[in-house]
Amino acid sequence: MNQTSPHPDESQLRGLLKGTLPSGDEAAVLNLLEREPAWQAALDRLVADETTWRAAAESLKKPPLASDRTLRSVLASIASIERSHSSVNTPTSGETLDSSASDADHSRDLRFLAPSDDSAYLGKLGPYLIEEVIGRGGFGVVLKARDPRLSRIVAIKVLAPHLATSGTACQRFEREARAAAAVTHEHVITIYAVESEPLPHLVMQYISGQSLQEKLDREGPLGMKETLRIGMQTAAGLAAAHKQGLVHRDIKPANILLENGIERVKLTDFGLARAADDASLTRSGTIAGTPQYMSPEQARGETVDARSDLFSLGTVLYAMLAGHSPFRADSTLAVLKRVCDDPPRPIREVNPDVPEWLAALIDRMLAKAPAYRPASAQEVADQLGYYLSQLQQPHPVSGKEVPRWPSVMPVILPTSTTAPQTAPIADSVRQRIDRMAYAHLALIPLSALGVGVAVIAGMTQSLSRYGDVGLTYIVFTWIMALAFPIPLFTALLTLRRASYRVLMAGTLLTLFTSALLNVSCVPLTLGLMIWVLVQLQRDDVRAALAGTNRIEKQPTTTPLTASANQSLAVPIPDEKLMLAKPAKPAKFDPFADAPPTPTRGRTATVLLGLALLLGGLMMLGCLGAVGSYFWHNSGNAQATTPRHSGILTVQIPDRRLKATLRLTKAEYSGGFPIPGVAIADPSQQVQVVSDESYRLIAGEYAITVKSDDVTVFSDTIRVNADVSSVGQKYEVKPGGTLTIEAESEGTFMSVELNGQLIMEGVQSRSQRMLVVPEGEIHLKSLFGNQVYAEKWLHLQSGSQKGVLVTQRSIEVISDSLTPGIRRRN
Amino acid sequence: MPVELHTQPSLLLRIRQPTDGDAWRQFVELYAPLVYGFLRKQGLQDADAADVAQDVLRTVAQRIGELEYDRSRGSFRGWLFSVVNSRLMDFRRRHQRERALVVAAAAEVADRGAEESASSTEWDLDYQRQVFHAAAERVRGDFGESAWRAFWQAAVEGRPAKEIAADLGMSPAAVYLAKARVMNRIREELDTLTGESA
Repeated sequence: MNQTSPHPDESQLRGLLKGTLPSGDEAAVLNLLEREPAWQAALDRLVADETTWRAAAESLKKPPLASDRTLRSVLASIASIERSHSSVNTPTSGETLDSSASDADHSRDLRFLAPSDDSAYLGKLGPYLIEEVIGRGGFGVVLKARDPRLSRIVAIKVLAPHLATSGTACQRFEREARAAAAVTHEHVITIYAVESEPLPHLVMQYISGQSLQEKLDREGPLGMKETLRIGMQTAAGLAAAHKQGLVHRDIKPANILLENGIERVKLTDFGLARAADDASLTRSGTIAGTPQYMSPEQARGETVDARSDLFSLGTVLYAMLAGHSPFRADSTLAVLKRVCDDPPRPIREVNPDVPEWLAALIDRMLAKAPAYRPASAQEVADQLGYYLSQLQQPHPVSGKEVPRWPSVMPVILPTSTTAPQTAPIADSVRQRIDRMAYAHLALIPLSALGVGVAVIAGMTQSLSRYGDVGLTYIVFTWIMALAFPIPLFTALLTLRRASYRVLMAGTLLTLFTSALLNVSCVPLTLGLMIWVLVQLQRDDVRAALAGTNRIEKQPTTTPLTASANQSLAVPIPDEKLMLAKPAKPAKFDPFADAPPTPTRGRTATVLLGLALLLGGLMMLGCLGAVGSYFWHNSGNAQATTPRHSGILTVQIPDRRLKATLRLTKAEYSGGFPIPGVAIADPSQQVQVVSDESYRLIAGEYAITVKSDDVTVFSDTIRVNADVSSVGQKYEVKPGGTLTIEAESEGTFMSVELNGQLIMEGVQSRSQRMLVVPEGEIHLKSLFGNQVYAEKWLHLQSGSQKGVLVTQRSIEVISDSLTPGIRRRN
Repeated sequence: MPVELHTQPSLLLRIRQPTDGDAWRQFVELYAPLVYGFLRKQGLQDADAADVAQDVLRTVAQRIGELEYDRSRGSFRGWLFSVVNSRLMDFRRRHQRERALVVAAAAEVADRGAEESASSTEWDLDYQRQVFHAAAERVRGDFGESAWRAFWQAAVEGRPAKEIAADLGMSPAAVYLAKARVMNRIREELDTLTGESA
């Protein structure tokens, strides 16, 4: 061994690392290592390259990446990936991890319990002896306990310690728990006590059984009867809570308990979701809860009311029939989005056994807008109860056996498909029909414009000196008065009863009358018509509208008709399943039963009022018009009454001149066309043909005369309303012909006639124009604002003058320049 | 040439065996905090980061079998980064549409464009930090307190060996040796974890 070797020996260093060197060598190498930087560097290089050393230093200098609470839950959820990933034959690692974690949770969660004397119990909470943990949730833990005083088993729900530190959460927990305690109902879990020490907790009835969630997990979709029964009982429990002003806010299968044996529904967890929500919302700003069963307003964080529970109940009904919630997606956010925006897949596609009426009911409950949902939980309970009683009837209903049915009661016959089935109109369809109704209202402002003008004109004509009221006018006004409210009534009727005929007739009439009222309405009405027709292509819409007609037309074809006030004679075998009030037959009118909800009713009333008011105004206008007609026709006023129009003839002696007329100021503006009038409004312009007589409404007109596209003259003509058939004459007096030769295209010049600018710039290098009338011509050669040269010419009628314009000079070159002859320098 | 004291199949090879649940658990423990932390830095809220991290690891679980450990085709680090990045962009695209819906969750992400991809430098640094810490954590138990401190002070804190030797009451040579031994183990562990030299 070379003790002084300056060259590091790699094999020795490797031996040193592994600890395999003989002890003498080791001491020597260590010695070298201490003294020789080269050896030190070599050792470093041996284990890792420079980059790795630097990376190690950089990375380890910083603390490890944070591993916070959320991350632990991520790890837990990813452990589930592991299970699906490696489910083949290694159940061990994941599960041991899980159970140890839950053991840890366990002891941590239950620290608030006082020790119990009896080791059979987990501990004591107040007087209660805790037997076991039966559930956990976001809000805390549920314990099964024995009440030694009454020796009964109770369930205790304890608010989680992290929530208990939030004052609002505690207060809300207790307030909601007290409110829930006030609800006593067969299908709502009974609350025995609410305590706040050591942690807020709630003592309630212990139900041995399973939750609907567990049942669904185990059995998949449920049968019709079971769905109806559970749905009805849940709705009844909800109705009882809603009566107390309590919104559940967290209706989901896990909160619907089914008692062992009879599977009676017990609704649990009232308002607790809200207590938990508040606390977690303030902490992380995210939405807590079970989004799959949330209502859209809840998902958006808006205020919720009882109707939010109905939406959730709708999702539960859906889940019972489909086996899963209607809004499923990969992530919480995606679920929320679907809840808010997407219509659920129609339940009948998922489960074809679901009858139409139930699908329609679920559709209504799942309406995104609360206003379109059923009015109350009681209504839902009644409907479900009614249909359930139908299903449980031992014999199928036939017309003769059960004659006492309300006339428009929708009847579902489980064994017969031939009986008429009329379901309440589905919500989405209802919305479409409503939209069609409301669309008619869009026409009101436009037709109002036309009608308003006509009516005001009618009312004021009698006072005006132009009281030119003809019979045609009266007829028009009357049609308007009658036609104007048609869209209003169509909308109103469609809102109240969805009827194909009303809708079609209303739309057609609207189209027809709008054309009379105001031409600008026509495109809009045509658009409306087309849209309505497109809407009517939809089968469901057509069915809803046609269904109505059928019922209206032939109520007696249903064999199950009778007066509405007789009660149902339906055998209901299970007394427990019977509702306190049997379904009220009148409720099942497809119109009364489906919306109009209160809001829709109000809209309809407002519309009706508006229609009547406008109709009244129309009538007044018509009366005014009629009055003025008779007033004018009875007196001698008529002879002196001037017309609204006069006749104008324009004479232009030279064919090279083109004159146009444009209305600048109308004396009469009735908005009502006078037959045979050439110009009635300022947008019109008339190319005047010489010596032609034009009938024009009284007012001021601008006449513009052009020669060779250059405006050579303009003037104002007043047209007086004149009874005489001769009318006025206006003569355009031509002056002389001016020819301008420009030196180059770039020459810029102006021509004024009698102080009026008639030409600017150079149109072409040789410009020949007839100037009207005769007068003083002022020519300028310009560059910018700079006048380089100017010239005055007197141009007499019939004379011809030519000028040559260069940048610097204007030169008269001919007194009678003939066209086509150019004189060049 | 690195010293090879003992060889163990790399973690990345092991997780390709669907039956090796333990490897997957180790993998998740190592990479979930990395992915999650990185996503948080990209402005995702904790719940969203958790969702996306879960997506990423699910994708890894599904696609790891397709991945060949061929250095020429890129590192695992790069591959994982591309998975993270594509899941992140998926999320942002989805999120843009949902932004109106969940106002609270969108606040942070709103400022970033949906198509903006994350920086790979940042990812590399995070990756490195995570794997070094994980490796250090794993080998820590193999060494005594003073050897560990010698390594830490020398390699991480960069103190001169003589000072450390004086502080810890050992010879400078022992400090060099400890430093090298710990580093050697860390590097081996890194190979096992990231599998890039396997």
